[in-house]
Amino acid sequence: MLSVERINKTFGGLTALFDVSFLVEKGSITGIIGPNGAGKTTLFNVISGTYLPTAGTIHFKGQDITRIRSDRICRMGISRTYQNAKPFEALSVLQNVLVGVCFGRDQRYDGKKARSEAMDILGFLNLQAQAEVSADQLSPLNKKRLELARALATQPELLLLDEIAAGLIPSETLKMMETIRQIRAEGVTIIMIEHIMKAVMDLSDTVIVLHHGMKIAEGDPKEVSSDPKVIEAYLGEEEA
Amino acid sequence: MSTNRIILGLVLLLLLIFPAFNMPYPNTFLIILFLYILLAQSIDLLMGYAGYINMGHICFFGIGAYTFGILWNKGLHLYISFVAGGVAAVLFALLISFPFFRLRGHYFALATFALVKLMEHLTLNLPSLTQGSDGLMVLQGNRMIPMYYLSLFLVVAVIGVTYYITRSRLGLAMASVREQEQIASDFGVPVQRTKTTAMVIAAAFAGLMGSFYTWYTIFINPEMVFGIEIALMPLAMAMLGGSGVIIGPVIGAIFLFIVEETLWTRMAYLHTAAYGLVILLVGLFMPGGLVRLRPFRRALMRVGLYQEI
Repeated sequence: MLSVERINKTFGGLTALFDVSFLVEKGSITGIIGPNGAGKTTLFNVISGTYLPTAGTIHFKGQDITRIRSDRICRMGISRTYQNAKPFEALSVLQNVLVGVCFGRDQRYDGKKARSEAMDILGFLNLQAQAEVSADQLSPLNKKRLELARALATQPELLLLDEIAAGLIPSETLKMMETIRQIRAEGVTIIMIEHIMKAVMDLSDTVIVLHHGMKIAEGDPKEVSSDPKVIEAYLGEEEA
Repeated sequence: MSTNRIILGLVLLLLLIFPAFNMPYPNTFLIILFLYILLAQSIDLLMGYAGYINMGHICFFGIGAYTFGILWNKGLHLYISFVAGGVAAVLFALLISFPFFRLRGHYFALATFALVKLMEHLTLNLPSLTQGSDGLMVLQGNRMIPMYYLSLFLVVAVIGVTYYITRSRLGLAMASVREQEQIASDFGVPVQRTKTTAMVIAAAFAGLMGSFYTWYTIFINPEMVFGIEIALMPLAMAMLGGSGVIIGPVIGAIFLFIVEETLWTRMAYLHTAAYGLVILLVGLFMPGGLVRLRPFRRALMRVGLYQEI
């Protein structure tokens, strides 16, 4: 479904991503882990078209999307959430989701139909009661839900989740994991960046480890968590 | 029927039958007020709803004014010359949208401000076309009634179109661009096209009003349509009234217009300073404008005239 080939991204003299390659299969959940500054969010920004990579190519459903603008990539079926929830603050919760419904999809949606679609999505995430509230009034948990709602509104085939469980208390995290499972069950392919190990290890089919912009390991969660390189770079820091 | 419709219906009815009272001075008074409201509302279409302060908005007005004057003097039909003013402004908006919308925030505001000076010097230095600093004169005739209705129509149209936009797909796209441009793009909003569309609509109204202005005043010169004073005025009105709320620029325009008629006629040289001061003070102490002050806002909400996106 998604193939990332030898992506490099530099900001001035800083190399944020170096020769990162991987494949994502349809219907799978891929976890991306790595210490702070490893380049995880940059990788998302490159896939979603927010940044152009310095070198390398990205193919989505067989099509080269490396140099396509983010609004078109979104309409092609890749959607995302942000590490720090970034709703359109002055707009209502419903309007936030409507942006996704009206502009993020392949077909054109309008008026009543768009509204009812948006309400359905809010219902799925338990936000329908807040539909008319302005987005900056939401609690942190609801902001995270709104992030997800807006991303789902575009009917993505590939969903990029950037630390969707960060900042949630354990019981909320469990609920969020359940939601992610449901989304996958609908046939959506997911790539998630996550620091909460339980969430990544339980949900992911494959885990990719980034360190200093390089992919240092890839495999099923058990394999990866026992890889000495990973322990040294990442898990080892916590044990020490 | 809701309160807001009754109020708007009554106001409109009053304005429609107003010429029947045969009061020439209040009539001209209203025409100028319509002009101000239109300029304030159209500048706010981009500023309040898409988040771009176009300091050069008056260029559309001036281009409309000159296009009309030149074509009409060449013997073209009045209607054609009138529409041509709007078309010229739209073409200019399309031309500048590509380079200028690559700039964001203050950079956009500053760059567009330079356009005003550019246009002023251009008209001054193309005397074969514009008569330069001598100004451009057009035919005079007794046309008070059609003028009144035309300007009324334009101002109703700009308010109606703004209202319609706030409830449309385009309005949603504009609001998302205003909030967070990159994120809007990440969610499929065609950012450039949205901004260009908004500016083109604003330009069309300002250009048509420019045509009207030349027809109405008979004489224009570069300072009248490309001067700093007329460039800052609609901005001050929109900001004072309340940017991004439909009734805001209307209230700002009425307020400053009354102030102008009652006070500033006595201090001819300080207009520009006063507009600058209004912009400064509103920005510092009342960034939401008059309509967002709590008592005002409540009253407007009660009658259903507070519409924002």
